[in-house]
Amino acid sequence: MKDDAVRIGVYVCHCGKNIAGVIRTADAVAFAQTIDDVVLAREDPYLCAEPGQKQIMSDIQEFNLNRVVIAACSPKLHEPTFRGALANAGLNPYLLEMANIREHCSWVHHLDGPAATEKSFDLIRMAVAKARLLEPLENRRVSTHKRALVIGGGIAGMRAALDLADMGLPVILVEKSPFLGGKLKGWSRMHPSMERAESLILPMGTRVLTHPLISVFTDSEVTEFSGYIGNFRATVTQSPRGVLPSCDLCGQCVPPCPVTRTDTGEKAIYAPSKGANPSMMAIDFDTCTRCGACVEACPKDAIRLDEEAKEQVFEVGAVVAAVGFDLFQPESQPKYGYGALPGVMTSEEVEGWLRTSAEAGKLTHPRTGKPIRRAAFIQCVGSRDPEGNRYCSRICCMVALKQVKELLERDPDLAVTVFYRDIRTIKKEDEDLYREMRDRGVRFVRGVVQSVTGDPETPTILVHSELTDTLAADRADLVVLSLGSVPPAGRDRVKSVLKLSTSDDGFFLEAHPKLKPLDTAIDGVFLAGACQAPKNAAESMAQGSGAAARVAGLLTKDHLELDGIVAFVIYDQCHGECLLCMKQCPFSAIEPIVMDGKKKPRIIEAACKGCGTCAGACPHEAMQLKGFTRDQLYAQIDAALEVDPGHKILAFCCNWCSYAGADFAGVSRLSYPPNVRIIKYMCSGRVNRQLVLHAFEKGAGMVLISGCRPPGDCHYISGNIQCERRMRAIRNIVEKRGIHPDRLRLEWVSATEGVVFQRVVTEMNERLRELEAENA
Amino acid sequence: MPDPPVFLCDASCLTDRMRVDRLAEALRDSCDLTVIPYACGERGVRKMREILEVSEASHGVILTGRCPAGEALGEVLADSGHAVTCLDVSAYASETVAAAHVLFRLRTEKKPAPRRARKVYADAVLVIGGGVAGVQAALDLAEAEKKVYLVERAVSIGGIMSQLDKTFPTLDCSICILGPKLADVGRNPNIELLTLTEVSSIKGEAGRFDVTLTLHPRYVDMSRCTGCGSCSEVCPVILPNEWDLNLKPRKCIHILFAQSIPLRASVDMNHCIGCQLCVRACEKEAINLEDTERKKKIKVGAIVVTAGLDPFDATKRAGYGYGRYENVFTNIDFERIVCASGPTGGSLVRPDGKPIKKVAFIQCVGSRDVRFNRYCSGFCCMASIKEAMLIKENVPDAEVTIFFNDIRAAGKGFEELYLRVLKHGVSFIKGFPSWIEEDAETRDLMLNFEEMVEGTHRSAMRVDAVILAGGVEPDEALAGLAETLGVERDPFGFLEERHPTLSAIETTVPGIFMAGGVQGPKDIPESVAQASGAAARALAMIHRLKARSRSQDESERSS
Repeated sequence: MKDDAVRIGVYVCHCGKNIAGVIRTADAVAFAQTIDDVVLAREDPYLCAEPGQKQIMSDIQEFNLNRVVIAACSPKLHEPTFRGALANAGLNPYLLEMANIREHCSWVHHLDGPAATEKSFDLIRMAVAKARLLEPLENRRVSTHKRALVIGGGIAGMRAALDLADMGLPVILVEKSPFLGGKLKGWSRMHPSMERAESLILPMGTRVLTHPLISVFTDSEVTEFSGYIGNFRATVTQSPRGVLPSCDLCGQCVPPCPVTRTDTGEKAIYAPSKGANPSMMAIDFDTCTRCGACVEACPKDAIRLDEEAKEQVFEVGAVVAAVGFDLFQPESQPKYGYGALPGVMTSEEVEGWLRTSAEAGKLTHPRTGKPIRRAAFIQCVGSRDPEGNRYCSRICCMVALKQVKELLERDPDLAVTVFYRDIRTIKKEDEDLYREMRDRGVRFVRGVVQSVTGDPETPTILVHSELTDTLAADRADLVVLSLGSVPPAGRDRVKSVLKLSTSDDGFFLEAHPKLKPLDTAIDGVFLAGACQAPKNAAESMAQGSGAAARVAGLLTKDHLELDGIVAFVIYDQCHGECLLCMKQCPFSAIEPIVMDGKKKPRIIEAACKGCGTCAGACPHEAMQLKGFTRDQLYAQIDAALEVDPGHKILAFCCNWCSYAGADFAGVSRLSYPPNVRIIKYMCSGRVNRQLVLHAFEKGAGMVLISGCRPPGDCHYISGNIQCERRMRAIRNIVEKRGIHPDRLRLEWVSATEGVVFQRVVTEMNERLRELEAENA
Repeated sequence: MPDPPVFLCDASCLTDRMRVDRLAEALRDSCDLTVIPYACGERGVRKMREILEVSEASHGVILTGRCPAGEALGEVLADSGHAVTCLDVSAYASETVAAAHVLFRLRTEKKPAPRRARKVYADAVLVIGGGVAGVQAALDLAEAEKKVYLVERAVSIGGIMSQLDKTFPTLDCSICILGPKLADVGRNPNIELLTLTEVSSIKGEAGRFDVTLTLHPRYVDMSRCTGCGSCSEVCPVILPNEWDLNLKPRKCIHILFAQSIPLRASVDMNHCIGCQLCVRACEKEAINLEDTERKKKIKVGAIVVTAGLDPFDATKRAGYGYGRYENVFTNIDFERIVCASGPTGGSLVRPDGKPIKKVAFIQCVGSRDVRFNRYCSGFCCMASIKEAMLIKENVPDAEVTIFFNDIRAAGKGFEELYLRVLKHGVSFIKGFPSWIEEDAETRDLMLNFEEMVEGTHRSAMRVDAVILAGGVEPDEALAGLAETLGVERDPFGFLEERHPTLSAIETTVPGIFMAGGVQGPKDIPESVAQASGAAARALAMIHRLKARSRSQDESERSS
């Protein structure tokens, strides 16, 4: 390659009208043809389609191209596609650079076509400048631990574990609570088969517990997690259960126990039923007074109140997070009267009541003890709330209808009213149940409930009826609040340990809602079930199986290929001894060696994740990141500032959060000033003094440094923290150089915060205008 | 043969209906009975294993209530090499009657057949249908190193998703996200893609199906055609393009759409006039108008069915005039109109060139309607909301009204998009127009409806275009496919699940799985997740069968 002259092909994609409807692509092509080393420039309606790919491949061969620039959508979407095309044409796939003229241009400047076209010139110029300096890189081959970690022992997690184990892959299943089964443990019956929920989860749990390839850890959480795809290390911390496996669930310990749990009403030593999985009691140590009454009562000597927490470390190749959901807490909305009025129950409490009381006949309110003649269901409690959870919880309409059916089966004369906003029975067999309930005389009132007040045992429900536009009052002996779903209580823990992102609704964020609904931004970590968004049991199980397939795709191979983006050392520039790179590497991927009598760093390539924090740490720029070298970044800066530099805002965005956040601004069509030029680095940990000063020396009007939100969002553990620390020093130097401090800004933007990106760059542009006016 | 051990499950599924102590009393003297508290629980299974281990009998019998545990229990005990039969005894009138029936069954029950000769299992998987679900299942299976036959009836894979302009709730371009997946299928060495192909017969069982495929003629040699399109240029036969809902022309020899996989021409022989112009124009000599139907036999271990969904035929709702009135469209028609690659190049205009400024959507056309399909199609509320958003983005001052019954925005980010269109001024009217009239001169449409807010009164609305949210239904071929495969269909015509909650991605035939709309209407993310799920179930099943056959071999060798 060294002897050959650089020969660049530039391709401008129309993406139908997504790009070509805003940007004059013919002008962009004409512009590209004027840049040095560009041998060929073309436009195409859809470069990602086979004709586009074929064109690129044949051009590479016919015109002997050795670098390719694609001006199209975000590299997040199609970089692998185009790299594949290069590889198929016999070119190293890393000799590709993309100019993001869709998410970062046509979609955010759709109201100003000429400005977008101008900007596309710069983006192409920047991409060509970097492409000129690209070097071929080789992918790394890594072996994988042929074992999976499944977090969560509800139906989604159990299904994932069983499918993986049935494929011959060993599984570590970690469940936070003492028993398998998740939310369905407390559920009564399941629509449409109307079988007991218990009868669905118990056989599954039993198979999980007795499967030779599944190791189950109940009462456990993943407390530490590190590594990379195929090679993770997870620390599982098991809290004391207080009961040994010799327990045979005889239950003799329960009556002597003097304390009762406030949340479930069970004793401190308990099991959900004789069919509990695993088949042993558990002690709720938050309630237990350690009086020892149970120890004395136990005929098997199976109770140990002084058990201690245990830690174990596992090496796993992939992870499925199936941590489920929780139900909305209605106490936070006093208008529903929950807590104050005993007649008001939650849907979850009703499930528990239906589960344990099977007898037919007249119903008695389990809390007031009064006969129930009229029951009322209030939908959307904690869902579709403009001031609270805006999302729909998807399952509560069906839960309510199923509960109505169970109540009517016990007492056919019961009068039932459902206060709803929209009935959302979207599955094929669901509408039938809605119709059946209407046919059986259940009254459905469309409107928003204003309050539940009055008689504590027979409360009054005040509703604004949409049909009649009037306020109506209704009384009921049983008021059921159909609770919405919320992210699980342990979400923050799982989020920070696994480094996952959440979407605006608080549930875990998938890698792509349609392409990769089960993947996350972390390669090798997958999602299943309701922790990603509310879903019903069948959907959760399908996702559990689906996540298993995604894991199988990784772990059935002997080797995985990792990208070639790793750090390297320019030993001539390394002064040695300081080893700041080693100290700041978040992955312990640098080890010291002695060279010319000095301690110098060496990269452990298999452990390097390619963040470039070491490159930011090195005072002498001796540490570099392949694919994002100093010269490549500087070439992009120079190209961005070639025309009218003082008016430009240079935005350095990390690959994972802030670049994706800027993409999201594009997807959401959030307009912002067209003078923003985004330069991508893998992590904000790459930022150093030289980088920022170079931008200002070249005349940049404004510089934005951006990355994942601290402390936990960084995809490289602590790159953003290093960036934040260095920025304090950089600010001082910038100021000393006489550059207005407002010209340098540090802002964290997460992958879903398109709005934040828009706000930040808009503010920076306003400030730039002011500074320009002051200096004029 | 000694009597099998009998286990009586003492759990709520049975105790809801029957007194276990009485049943045990009635059976105890006549068979080898053990009462197991929760046979499906861990302790229960361990207990049963202990008893089966020492028993001389080749299998056991579990008496249960009405519960789905039977199959799962069979699997659990099979893990340890034991065979059991489950009997639901909860439906009998009394404990005595139940006991009598159980004893009768025990005496007459055929003993399980002795172990048969070793079976040879196939490793490949057949995926039927090349929509997004079939594509995802094929990719996941191929990624796990399985050979996949992906069979598609049409000339290209892509399915309904390839016709959509944008997808909800993120409004990202549909073909932009589907296109690369299609290209991956075309490139993957583990996937054998068979377009214009249908399943004609199937024999065998889980782990070893013999399938015969019918390959319809394409009249183009796929190995020679490069997809250059010079044949289409010279073809004199111009036809409406059904892929663009007949709103755009195509030639008789054509490539379906830009992102087609395989990107090869095909001849629509129903309309070919045999002029041979294309044959002469093709430099690669790829066209053979004498091409004939062929058969292909394959052996597969598992089958994933993903084909069989059609948009509702909106002409059935005669009062809305679809097919009679030029400016009444369906959701999918509209996707093509608003798509940059569609017939109008993405401009919002009617076929007569008039800009679309005033639009009405009518929801639940053919769905939630006992005369047509009584189920809810699930996604059409969001489809219309998305299209309303696209109209507002294109023409900010457009007047958009959505006639609905319930707005069903139940999915991640769906309610948020609903709130967004409300903010953009889209009106929602609860209730449906009873009929639509066309102004013969202007071709505008008059909607007659009853408004239900503040009492009921009759109202009318004049619009440029009406979009019918038609929902989906099983396609005509699904009944035939189900019969060929031997799988059952549900009352709506979709494929029946093995269990609606536990095994919603398995059909009633072991070894045949399903994903996507063939199981019931669903949106793209759910179809994709299900497809991965079906792939996992197929992988797990094949592995289990092979592992069992291996361990059987080993135990036979050692004994």
